[in-house]
Amino acid sequence: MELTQESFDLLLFWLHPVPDEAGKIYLKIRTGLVKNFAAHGCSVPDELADITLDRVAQKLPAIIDTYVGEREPYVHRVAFYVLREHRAKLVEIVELDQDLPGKDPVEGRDKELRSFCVNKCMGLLPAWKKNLIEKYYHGSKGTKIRNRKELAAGLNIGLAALRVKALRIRQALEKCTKSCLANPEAMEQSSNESNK
Amino acid sequence: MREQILDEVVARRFLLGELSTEEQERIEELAFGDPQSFALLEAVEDDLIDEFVYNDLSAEERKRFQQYFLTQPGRSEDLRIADALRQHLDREFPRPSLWQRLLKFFHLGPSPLPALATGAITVAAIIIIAILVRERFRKTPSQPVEAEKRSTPALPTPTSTPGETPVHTSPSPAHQNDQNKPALPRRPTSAVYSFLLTPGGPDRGDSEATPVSKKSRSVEFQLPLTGTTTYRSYKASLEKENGQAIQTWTVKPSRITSGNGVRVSVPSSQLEVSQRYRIVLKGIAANGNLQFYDEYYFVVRD
Repeated sequence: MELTQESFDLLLFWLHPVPDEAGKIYLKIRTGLVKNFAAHGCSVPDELADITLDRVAQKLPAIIDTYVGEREPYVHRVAFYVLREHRAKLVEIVELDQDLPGKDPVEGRDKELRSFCVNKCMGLLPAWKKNLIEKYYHGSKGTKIRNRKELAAGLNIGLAALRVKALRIRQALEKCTKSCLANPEAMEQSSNESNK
Repeated sequence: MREQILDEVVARRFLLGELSTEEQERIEELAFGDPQSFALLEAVEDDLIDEFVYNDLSAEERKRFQQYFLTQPGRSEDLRIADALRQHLDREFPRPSLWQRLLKFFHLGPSPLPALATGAITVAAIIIIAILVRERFRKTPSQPVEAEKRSTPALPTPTSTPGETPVHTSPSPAHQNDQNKPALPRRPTSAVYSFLLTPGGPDRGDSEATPVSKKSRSVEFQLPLTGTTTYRSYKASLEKENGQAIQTWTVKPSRITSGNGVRVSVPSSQLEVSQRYRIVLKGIAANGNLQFYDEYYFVVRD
């Protein structure tokens, strides 16, 4: 949703009733946002900072009368959710309504497609990553604990480091799966080419 | 200071929506300002999804997971992908048999017979000693220690002395007369077990879900229709609790033990012990649309 001049003015007023002071605070907050998004490894920190401030401006009419306290922490809380969405939504996925009546054939097809994509993406992982994922995530509680200890010992790293490693691979796998879900034909084609 | 505020337990509670508004807000600020805290949240989020998919969450956590965690944007899709990954791993690495697990547990190689024989002898010796000790206590349950010391240790006898407190008896009185007969090996029954399920939502704990035995070749479920709306036919879907579909039926209502209801049958081979399942019942409206009717939870026991 595009930010209007009216929303922007309201944001400035909320930051400080004196326009010059409001401008300074705005810039300070924006600089802080860009710095933090960059520290999280985001490739487009400026864009995310602007998205955050736009979102705060859009929310203002609902909170301006009741909000008490510092402005910057509120902006950072909104930024937290922008960051999460950015990390999770590298590819747009349309959420399916869980309770749509009579959608079973579509659900079945989606399931098949998801399974196809996970298989393909697992196939694209280098052997050591595939092995790590398979051992890290497979099995129920007891098996998992044992597997993870063995894995950490084998790689000569601590359990916390192993967890971060597994998470990064899993995120890459999810990213690949989401790309595949968005365009399964392209995935099929690229995997056929890599098999040639 | 930041590390002290956000530990794994707090992160878990944050993700399950169990913190107060103030605490929740503090974590949001903290995680945005500190990449390490944000990474911890991501890792715990990953663990929660994984534990849900493998049914390792407690009943309370599962409830919070479904009611709060899954309602956040993007999480349903993460869950679906995690479930697809689990299925992929289950296909690639089928669960080892009991025999393989035993070998692994005892660190035995592919030819474990000598070691197993030793183990079996040890186990048999322990069982015999345990039986001897138990039988001695059965014979003299209230005798003082001194008297017991003086008496000659007797071999266990299968019969009870009149007036003696029975310690372990057969499950039903009829079996008490059969104790001298050789025991017949148990045969799998071919009877169909029928279970009347109680309708109820997902917030029921394991102890409240109807326990179901899979000792017969197939299991019949009777689903009472307790709602005010009635339909000419219904669609029933058997699912694992994580939403993985097992089987669906289109059924017409009929008389069941408790009044009106529908009946569905499932081959026992499709049910896993200790697994929690639900049957989701939807009414088929006149225009063909499906309307949610009720759901029925059960747990499969040995």
